[in-house]
Amino acid sequence: MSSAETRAKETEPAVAKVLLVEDDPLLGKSVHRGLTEHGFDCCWVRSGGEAVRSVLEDTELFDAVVLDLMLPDLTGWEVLEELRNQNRGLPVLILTALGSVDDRVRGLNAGADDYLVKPFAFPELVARLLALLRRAELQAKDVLTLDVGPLKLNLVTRVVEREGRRIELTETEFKLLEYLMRNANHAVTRRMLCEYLWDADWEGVTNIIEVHINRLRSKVDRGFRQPLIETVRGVGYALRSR
Amino acid sequence: MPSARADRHWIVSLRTRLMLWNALAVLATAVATMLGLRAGVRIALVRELDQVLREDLREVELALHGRGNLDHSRVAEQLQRKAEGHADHQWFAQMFSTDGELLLTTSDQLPQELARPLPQERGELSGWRYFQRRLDTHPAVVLRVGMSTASIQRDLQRIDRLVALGVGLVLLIAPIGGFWLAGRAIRPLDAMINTVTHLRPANLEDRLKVRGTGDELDRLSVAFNSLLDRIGTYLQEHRELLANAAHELRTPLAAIRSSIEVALANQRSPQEYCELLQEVIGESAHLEALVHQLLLLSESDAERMRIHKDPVRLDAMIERAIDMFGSYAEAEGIELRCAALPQVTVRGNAQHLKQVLYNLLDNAFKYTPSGGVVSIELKLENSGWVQLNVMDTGVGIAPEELPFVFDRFYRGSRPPRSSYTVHRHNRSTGLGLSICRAIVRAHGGTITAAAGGRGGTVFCVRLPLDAGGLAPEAPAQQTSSNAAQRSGSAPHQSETPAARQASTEATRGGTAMELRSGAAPC
Repeated sequence: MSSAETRAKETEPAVAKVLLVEDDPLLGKSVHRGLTEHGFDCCWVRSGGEAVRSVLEDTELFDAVVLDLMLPDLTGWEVLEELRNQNRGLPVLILTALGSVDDRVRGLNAGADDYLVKPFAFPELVARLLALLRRAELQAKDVLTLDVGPLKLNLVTRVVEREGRRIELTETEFKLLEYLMRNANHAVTRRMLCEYLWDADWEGVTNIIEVHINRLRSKVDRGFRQPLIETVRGVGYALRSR
Repeated sequence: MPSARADRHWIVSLRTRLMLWNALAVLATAVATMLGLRAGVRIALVRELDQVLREDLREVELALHGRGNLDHSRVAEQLQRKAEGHADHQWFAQMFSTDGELLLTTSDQLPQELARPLPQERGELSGWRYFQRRLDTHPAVVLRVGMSTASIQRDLQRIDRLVALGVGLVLLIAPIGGFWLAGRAIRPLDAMINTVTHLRPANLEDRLKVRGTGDELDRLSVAFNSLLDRIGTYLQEHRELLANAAHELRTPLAAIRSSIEVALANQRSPQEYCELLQEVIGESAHLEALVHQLLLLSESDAERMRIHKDPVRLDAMIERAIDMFGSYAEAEGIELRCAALPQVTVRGNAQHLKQVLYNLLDNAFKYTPSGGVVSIELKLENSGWVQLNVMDTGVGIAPEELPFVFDRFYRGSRPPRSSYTVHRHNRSTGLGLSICRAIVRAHGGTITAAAGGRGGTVFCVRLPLDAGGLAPEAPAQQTSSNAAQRSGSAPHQSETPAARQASTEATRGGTAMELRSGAAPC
């Protein structure tokens, strides 16, 4: 399966409506085009005021917001504050050139759900956006167990089973699998995994994640006919429900 | 208005102010001295006059002695003669009866107040000084002699003229002398101002002259010169960084451009386009990494980081790094060793300190071949410092290269181990170690590189301890590699104190965690 087909399939179930707030014409155009081609229903506005108006006009319209911080009228911070005042649940991904640790912490504290620094890899943006949408979906129902195809993961007893056969995992592997299962059938990037597992924005020895994935594979997929953990070329990894 | 500004400048000039203060001080001293002198002279003159009058009175008394009855006319004649002898001092004598009747007087130009006896024996009245006494020989008679004080006034006026002349001279000389002296005193300052005025960021070569007198101005010159030296070094470093950064950015940019131009030069198959675009992405990613690291470097260089003085648990940070790199080490056949971790808290920026640790580990793994050892060591020093060592048994750095490893964009000659796969966006930027140094310095610490005992390299980071975070003792029990795994359970939430606590509990009493190929039951 080529990666293009994979992506098309990922976004098939429901068309997510995304509000893109970006004042740079070239970047805005390319992100808008990219998101549209990935199956999102993307609406692009170029100023903070427009963004606030678009959201306030109809709160049900958007499933997520991609927000630049340096905007001509209102700053991204103000837009975020306004959005949070109006609609607490709407997932917001900040997409900005402000990349210092402080900016990031400030963004997340201000109520953003994710923070991506420019320049970014496009698949990274798509993967994060999809993860955000999934998270919003999952938060709605209070889950104690995750079921993906033959895999069952109990968040309380921390027992993992595949087709009734119990799988022993270390803490790190458990967290890794949990994250993959929460994003089942969606690709997650190495950077996302690094952030989730170790709170580290780190890509030094990149195959650190690869090594952890391989260990998880050896436990989850070995001895079964169908491998579940798949490498998505140019993006990262995905857990398939088959 | 330029003239008003010039006036103002003249008033505020240090030289003018010194001059004015000097003139004022000299003037005050001169006036005080002269007034004191005048008062002294007056007192001396009055005393002299009194002495004369007292003697005259006594003389007259002696002359009258032995006479039974006073023959007024004879006495008057006698006194008149005496008065004429002292006419230039307007000497006079008077005789009164005890009832206050004026019996005789040698002068009729005396004021009314002197026409009767006075209560005091001596005194001064309307410009006249007098002595009076009831005669011992003739108790019914009061004799008074006196003199005008006009001569004293004349002398004093003469002195006053001298005083005025003196003050005038002082008023003239003091400012001129003051101006000259102040000019001498501040001449070095003028030279400094001239030198400093001509300093420009582009030309900081000039230095202030040190005259060797060791006075305040000399010390100022020395201090200023060393400030200039530091600024010069700093600017030089930044200029080099900027130039180097531009050069470093040029290479991936050139690659991007040529890939695109090659792609556009001919009609190609989609496959070929794909490959060329992949190349562009790879080079962009390298550019990204460069820019990211340059920003990190400038962030750490600026002392902005000092604002975050949050407590950072180094032991917890290392545990997480072991969890992160452990599996990698195992897969690469490298042993990752960590001795017992004492509980250590420093103040600083957790994200940046983490960057230091990861950079050093990344570096260590990069140069350590399969079968080698990478070890981490956290040691408390007695003096309130903590030492973090990252050691490898890799190729090692040539001694002549050691002083330069922390320089920006310095890439040593040692080759990475053969199995090290360079991912397209983590090609070395040559900035990793200089970022480490900038961060460690911003935390008030030091970082050094040295040759390791078994070949390889030791990087030693020393950081000042948080005053409250001194751990009294290091745990010493043995534990299995499971401890490392268990401790790895906390990392995600470990920014919270509770989780930090949890992850310490896991290692407290734990030592010598070894993660080697096949050893950990993962």
